[in-house]
Amino acid sequence: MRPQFLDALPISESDRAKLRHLGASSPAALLSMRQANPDAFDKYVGEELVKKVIPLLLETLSAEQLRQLEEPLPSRPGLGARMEPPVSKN
Amino acid sequence: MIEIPLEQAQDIAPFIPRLKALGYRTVNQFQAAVRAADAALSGYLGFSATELLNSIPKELRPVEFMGDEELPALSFGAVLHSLPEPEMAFAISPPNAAAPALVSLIDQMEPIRDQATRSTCTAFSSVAAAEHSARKAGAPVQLSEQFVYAKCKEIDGIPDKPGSWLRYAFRVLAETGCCLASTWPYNAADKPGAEGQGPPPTAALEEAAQHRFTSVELSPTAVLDIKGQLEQSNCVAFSIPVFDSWIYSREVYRTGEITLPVPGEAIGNLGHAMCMVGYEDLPDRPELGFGRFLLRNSWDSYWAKESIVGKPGYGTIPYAYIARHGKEAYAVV
Repeated sequence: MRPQFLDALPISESDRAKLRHLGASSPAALLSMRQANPDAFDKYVGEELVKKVIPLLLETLSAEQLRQLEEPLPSRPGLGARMEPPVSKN
Repeated sequence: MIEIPLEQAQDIAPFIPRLKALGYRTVNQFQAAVRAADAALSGYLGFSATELLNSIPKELRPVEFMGDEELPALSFGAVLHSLPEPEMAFAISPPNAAAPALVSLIDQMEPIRDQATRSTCTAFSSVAAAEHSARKAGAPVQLSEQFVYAKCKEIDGIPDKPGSWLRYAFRVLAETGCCLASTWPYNAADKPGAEGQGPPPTAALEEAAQHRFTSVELSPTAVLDIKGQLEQSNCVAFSIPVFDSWIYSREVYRTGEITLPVPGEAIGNLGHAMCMVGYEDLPDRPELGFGRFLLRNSWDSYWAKESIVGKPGYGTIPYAYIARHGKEAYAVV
């Protein structure tokens, strides 16, 4: 189902479209995305909109959700898929 | 006809880089693309392409294709002729009404595993797909990721570097086979100077020949082809670049709902392989490419403890992520 949380925010339609484009399903997902990479997030969303929308999103979270956002993130688990073209002719 | 550069359409400024990434340079080209492939383009943009087009002032749009008028038949060939090839946009398509909207193989998978801190995800994702195939054939087994990774490192040309490619994992599964996990269990600890931790014990090599698997290589961005394999109950191992916006997201860690990269976010050198175990069409989520794949990760059940798909260790990834960033994809058939 299409997430409704952006519809309720007092922002312009173009700002709403810009945030919807990020594909987050909840305020917590959007806030967490920004926590994870604030530089990229702020560059895309724009400083002015970030200042406006972050407090609005935080207001929608429960105490439990706020606590979850502040939990320390465990160290990154293993990855291992090479992204460059294979070097072997095999 | 006057060609109007996209830069003049400041009302759609945030979307201009994405349109340029598809090869569009002018409003004329964008308008022609909307006419030819509105749904696909909307999926790529994550926003209604028609609405986006209509937000450009009329004076900046070529008059003959204004608004919702029917496209003049005689102009159609010219429009297509001038259409740049938006390779990524056409990889995303609206759901096929004839196909099921939801496929889940999650209940048919062997218990979730943990690669720990080793760079062995290609072995874990390929083994997950192979194990599902064995169970489907009525002969469930638990196979050795340790074996697959060790054999990959013998042939991938970078024996001392961490990580590998799915192509080698599936070559091992087809040509050498794979021994049982009980014969050569996974060692979660790194061994300095021995990335693959091989060679395998002799008994493991002999046993592996009894467990060979056939796979098909898929276009890693072809969402519909991948869905087609899942519809046939074939799991799909895939690899993608990893972005900070999800790998360091507490919410993704909690729910397993992997998010799209932020537009413009740098693609790092790190990649990850996982196993697709289903899909879910979401017709009202164009920003996701109209749906998401269900996936099995290899980070035990501490990842996605409160899984969006109801089973810890499992999560989702948007169709649009795969359509834009898929690197490798193999189905065990």
